[in-house]
Amino acid sequence: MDTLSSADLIAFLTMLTEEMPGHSDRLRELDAQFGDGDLGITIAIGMKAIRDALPELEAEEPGVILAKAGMAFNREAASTFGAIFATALMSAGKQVRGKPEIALGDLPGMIEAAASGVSARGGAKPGEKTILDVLLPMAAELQAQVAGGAALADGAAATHRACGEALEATKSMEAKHGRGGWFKEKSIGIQDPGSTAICLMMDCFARFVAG
Amino acid sequence: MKKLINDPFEFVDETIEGVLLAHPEHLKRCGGSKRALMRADGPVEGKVAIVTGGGSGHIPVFLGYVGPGLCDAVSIGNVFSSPSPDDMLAATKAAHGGAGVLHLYGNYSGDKMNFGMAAEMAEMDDIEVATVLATDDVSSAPVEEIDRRRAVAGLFFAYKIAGARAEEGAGLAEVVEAAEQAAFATRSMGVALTPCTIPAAGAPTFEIGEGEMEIGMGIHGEAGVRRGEIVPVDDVVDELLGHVLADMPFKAGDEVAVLVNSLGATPPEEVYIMYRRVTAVLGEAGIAIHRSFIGEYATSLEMAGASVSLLRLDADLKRLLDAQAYSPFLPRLGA
Repeated sequence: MDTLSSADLIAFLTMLTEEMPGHSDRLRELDAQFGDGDLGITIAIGMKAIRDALPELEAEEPGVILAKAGMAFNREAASTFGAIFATALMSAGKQVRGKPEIALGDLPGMIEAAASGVSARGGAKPGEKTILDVLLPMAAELQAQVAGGAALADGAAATHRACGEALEATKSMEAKHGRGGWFKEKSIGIQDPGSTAICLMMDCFARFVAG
Repeated sequence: MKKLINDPFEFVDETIEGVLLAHPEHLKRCGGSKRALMRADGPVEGKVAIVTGGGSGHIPVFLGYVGPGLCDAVSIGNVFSSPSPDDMLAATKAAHGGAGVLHLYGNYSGDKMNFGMAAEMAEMDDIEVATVLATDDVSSAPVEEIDRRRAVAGLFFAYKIAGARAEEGAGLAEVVEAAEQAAFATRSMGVALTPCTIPAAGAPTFEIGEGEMEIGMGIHGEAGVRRGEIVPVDDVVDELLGHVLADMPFKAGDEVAVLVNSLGATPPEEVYIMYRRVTAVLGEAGIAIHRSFIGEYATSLEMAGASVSLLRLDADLKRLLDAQAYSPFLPRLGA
């Protein structure tokens, strides 16, 4: 697979919505350590909302599918993560507006757009224990993979590894935003729950494009 | 968990159903939205509409502040969770009377991001939207970082002042100015004695020892400034007011409105004992009380505890505070 058509993207989102609810308990436990523990429920409800929205999105171009999937997620699972995730998908989708297919070369710009959308929406900067801390390293790795002429599957696999390393690095960060921000130094030592969810999604994507 | 509920996941929707059945002359749904309510006589043509919203579990915050002289519509989230931008948009569109909309709510990240999305969507529909956030909890960040502060019961004053200004027929910019003045002039601090339990979670939000209190705790159990042994209530009030008075700072000669709020499980008697001490401390500081509000203005399910809020008044704020307003959820509002 070199590019993702609308049908491919819908197949990926179907796989994602089947897999992610299985991580609910783990995400809830992580989140409960310094948030309010609702991330597991949010992911489960939001993924089901995407799943329910997919049949109506089959005729849309990939960018629109992403944006509408994000909106569907936050409609049913409104929350801090819901707003952030919806913003990320809407920003990434806008980046490929008008394109019938998504190639590896589109991904760095999409992830960068997602990161700046998230930053503008929530006011976070890098190093503050948010999903920016995995999105930005992912964008950088994708950039390097595109420059090196990698195939989509290899680029995605390398980006998943970079995401995992970036996730590990969130452990030493002190949360500054949302409920986590009120726990301050107590948040150190725990990996960011939202970034954990993003990393699990990236893992799913890497396996999907590897076929 | 010991609660008078059915399915915990139906908690919010069944609450809304009960409220609508109890007050059909006062509230109605915004179109087909399950989680957006508005004034039964709305939209009010030509008036700036005030739209609020936030998580459930705090009645009368948020839906109890919809009414004449207050807010026009509200979007309602799950317990302690932001409403969706779709419900916020539904409330915004339904309440819009052609004179613009003020989004007025508490400074919480989820609400802020979702209201931000709703405001962008409303603007695409050519509805002018402005935003003012309440940030009255002095324990949640130092005064230099006032824009990081959370909102607690003092949100009431922002609703009352902005609502009265809109009712006077002021334009959006003037209503925004009044809301900002009220938000800035309000300072609060609370104390928590016991936790609350979110129905769908089934377990208390935090733990606190039998003989302990936490000064400065937020209305979702956010960490406060100090945890210690519980002391006589006069000493608690002295500590809360010490922080609040120093924050503005309030000075001799100031005139204020006072709000002493129960978080839900603390009985009215205890709140009146607190008020007794508040009058003594303010009297000693040479601060005059223009008007007082005592009771449940922002609760946190069955949490025990209370908060004290002060609003520093000038002639304009006094007029707006004293103006008529009505909600079946509140004992006394204005003249």
